[in-house]
Amino acid sequence: MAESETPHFNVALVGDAVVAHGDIDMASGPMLDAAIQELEARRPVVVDMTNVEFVDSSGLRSLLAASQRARLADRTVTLRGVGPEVARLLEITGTTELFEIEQR
Amino acid sequence: MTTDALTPVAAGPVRLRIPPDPTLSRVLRMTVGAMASIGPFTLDEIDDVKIAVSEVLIALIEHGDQADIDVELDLDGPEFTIVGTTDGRTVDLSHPDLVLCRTVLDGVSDVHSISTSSGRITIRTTVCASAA
Repeated sequence: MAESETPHFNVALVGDAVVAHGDIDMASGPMLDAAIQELEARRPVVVDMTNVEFVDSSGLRSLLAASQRARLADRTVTLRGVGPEVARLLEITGTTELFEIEQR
Repeated sequence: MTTDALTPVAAGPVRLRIPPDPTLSRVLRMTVGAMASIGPFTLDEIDDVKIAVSEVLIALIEHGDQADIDVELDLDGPEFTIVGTTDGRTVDLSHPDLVLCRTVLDGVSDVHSISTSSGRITIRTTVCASAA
């Protein structure tokens, strides 16, 4: 997969994970979506969020859609390197349990 | 010059008119972050204000008529109020995307509302500083 990026976000497949850098919002969500869908065709999805400090509901939708597809395939989506900002959004929306969380 | 910590801080209202372009969400976040940082908000509360303005923009872009969006930002003491409006006749509050958006606003703001009137959709939300 080619790396996708905007001035404030980029995402790439590195090893077994989709590695995101920057803010996951309405502008960058579709790039994350595309990267996840490319990975999930081959293996369980791991999204490295170590360098993500902002996610809003539109960005969260990309992750929730991936989680939903994974559950249909009897898999889970792992969020790696989750920081407090992302953890809080998951908590607010009651979606923490839908992912395997690896804290930063 | 010194600043009296007890002096209520006010800034704004700052009024912006932006096209319905998702990439401008970051501009709004930077603006509210700068404004909130001069008020009595903690870092977590500044993050809440950034999320709130992002949610307002998402909802207006996705549920409005793709017209320009007017955003008013007002810091009045411990209250940061965001009001966004755009053209639109109706809003389906049960739409899953909007339900998620409102759930996030429930979590980060103290009060929020979505209304329609005279062909305009208005979303108003206020984040209050806990230290006040």
